[in-house]
Amino acid sequence: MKFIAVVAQKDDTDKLVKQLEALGCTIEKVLRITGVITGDAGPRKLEELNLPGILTVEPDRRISIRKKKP
Amino acid sequence: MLLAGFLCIQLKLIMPATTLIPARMLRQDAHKPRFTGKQLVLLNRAATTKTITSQAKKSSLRLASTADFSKSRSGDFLTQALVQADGIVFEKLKVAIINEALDDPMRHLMAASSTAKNFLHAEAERYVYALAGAKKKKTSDPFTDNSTATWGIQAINVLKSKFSGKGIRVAVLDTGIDTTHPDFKGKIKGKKTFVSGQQVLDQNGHGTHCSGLIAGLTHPTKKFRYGVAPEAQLYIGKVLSNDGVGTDSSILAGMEWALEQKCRIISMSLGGAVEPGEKYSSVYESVAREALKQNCLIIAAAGNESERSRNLIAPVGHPANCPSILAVGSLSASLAISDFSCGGLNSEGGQVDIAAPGENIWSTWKNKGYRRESGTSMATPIVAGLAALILQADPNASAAATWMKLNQDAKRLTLPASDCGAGLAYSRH
Repeated sequence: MKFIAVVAQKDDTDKLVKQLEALGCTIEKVLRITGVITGDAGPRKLEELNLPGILTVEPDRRISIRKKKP
Repeated sequence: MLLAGFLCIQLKLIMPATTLIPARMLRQDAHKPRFTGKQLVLLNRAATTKTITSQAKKSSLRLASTADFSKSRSGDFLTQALVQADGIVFEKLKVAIINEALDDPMRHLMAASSTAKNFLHAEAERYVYALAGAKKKKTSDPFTDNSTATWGIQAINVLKSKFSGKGIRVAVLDTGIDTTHPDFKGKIKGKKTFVSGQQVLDQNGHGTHCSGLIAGLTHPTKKFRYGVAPEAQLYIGKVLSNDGVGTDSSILAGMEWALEQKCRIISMSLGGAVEPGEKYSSVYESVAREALKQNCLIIAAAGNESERSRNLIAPVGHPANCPSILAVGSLSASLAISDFSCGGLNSEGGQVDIAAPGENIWSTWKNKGYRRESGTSMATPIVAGLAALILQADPNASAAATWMKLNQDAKRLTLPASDCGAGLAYSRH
């Protein structure tokens, strides 16, 4: 499952990326200004990615335009 | 009709003289006649119809009975009875209706010791009127596009503004932009795609429409204005595919890029539906707080899942439901809340912060075109454009102060705050 996560302290980002990779996750984006990490959890459940230092983990949702449908 | 009216009277309208009637009702019906001239008479439930009609006959009153008309197929039997007789007895109800000008014999029947126990009470028959429906709240005369500007531009009072958003960086995270459109010449200062395999060039049209509402100026031939902040600098992040679909990860990447580009405003006419009671995204909330710290205001569409005409109001969607993202609802040209516009239902975040024109909004489209669109998607860049005007007026204003200024300047509407927040986004510069 694809995920989005945000770290509590941006200084910890690189360390947490390594820990997530060690869990088997494929990291796709590391957004350093906002402290966001995105990727694929592989066989892991999202709860398992909630490591110390990770503020929250959520599924990567589908988003669409907000034009009124005809 | 009279029978139905009579039943209403029996059930609801017979009130003691001291009963207070709401003033509104009195005013409403003041010009209508109240009494028919006939009498309603309450009869003893123990008395038979035969006894009643017999006693009435002795006072020169010829009373018919509903039983006499039990096989009548005509709904107008009551009129017929009151023509043929002096009145009619409703057997099951133990009530009689007596014709006009027969007050004296009725008074005799109620006064005489032999009949008073059966003829208990008389009162004037009232006319009963259908209650008028609640008056619709008066809405403003609808705005219309004219030779000067689109209705939305007029409604937000931007024509009187001396500001144009000059130099303010506004990120539009959407389906991209028609980079060849003449209306954006010199206005696109940065662009990046976050959609794999697709260029920034908008082949959907939505992103081009939203960008035009921010930084478009006038129609090239008709010369009416449609953009709010025509001198704003556009930073176009393509986070949604040409099908109008994307993912959180692309949008978050676009937000990060907008912060890198030092954009003061991020306009996001995108989102996903949430369920009533569903909590906002902590990831987006964290990102939005960081953006506010970096003086960037994120403005997002509340969503279009409501069907208010069917009493269905959907909660503000993701990610506009984050407390640190300014959520925009949609208004019609009469400044009523749009049928589709989501409402502030969820107590944990999920409020509508402000509303803006969002129906039949004219702007740029793909392939160097123009068209009208509706949705909170359209209301959102209009607010983003207004924010650019505010920031041009006070370039040192923080993102939080810009948000507050949008709220302060909003024109209050007689609509629930849960639908329109502070009201109609409005320029007061």
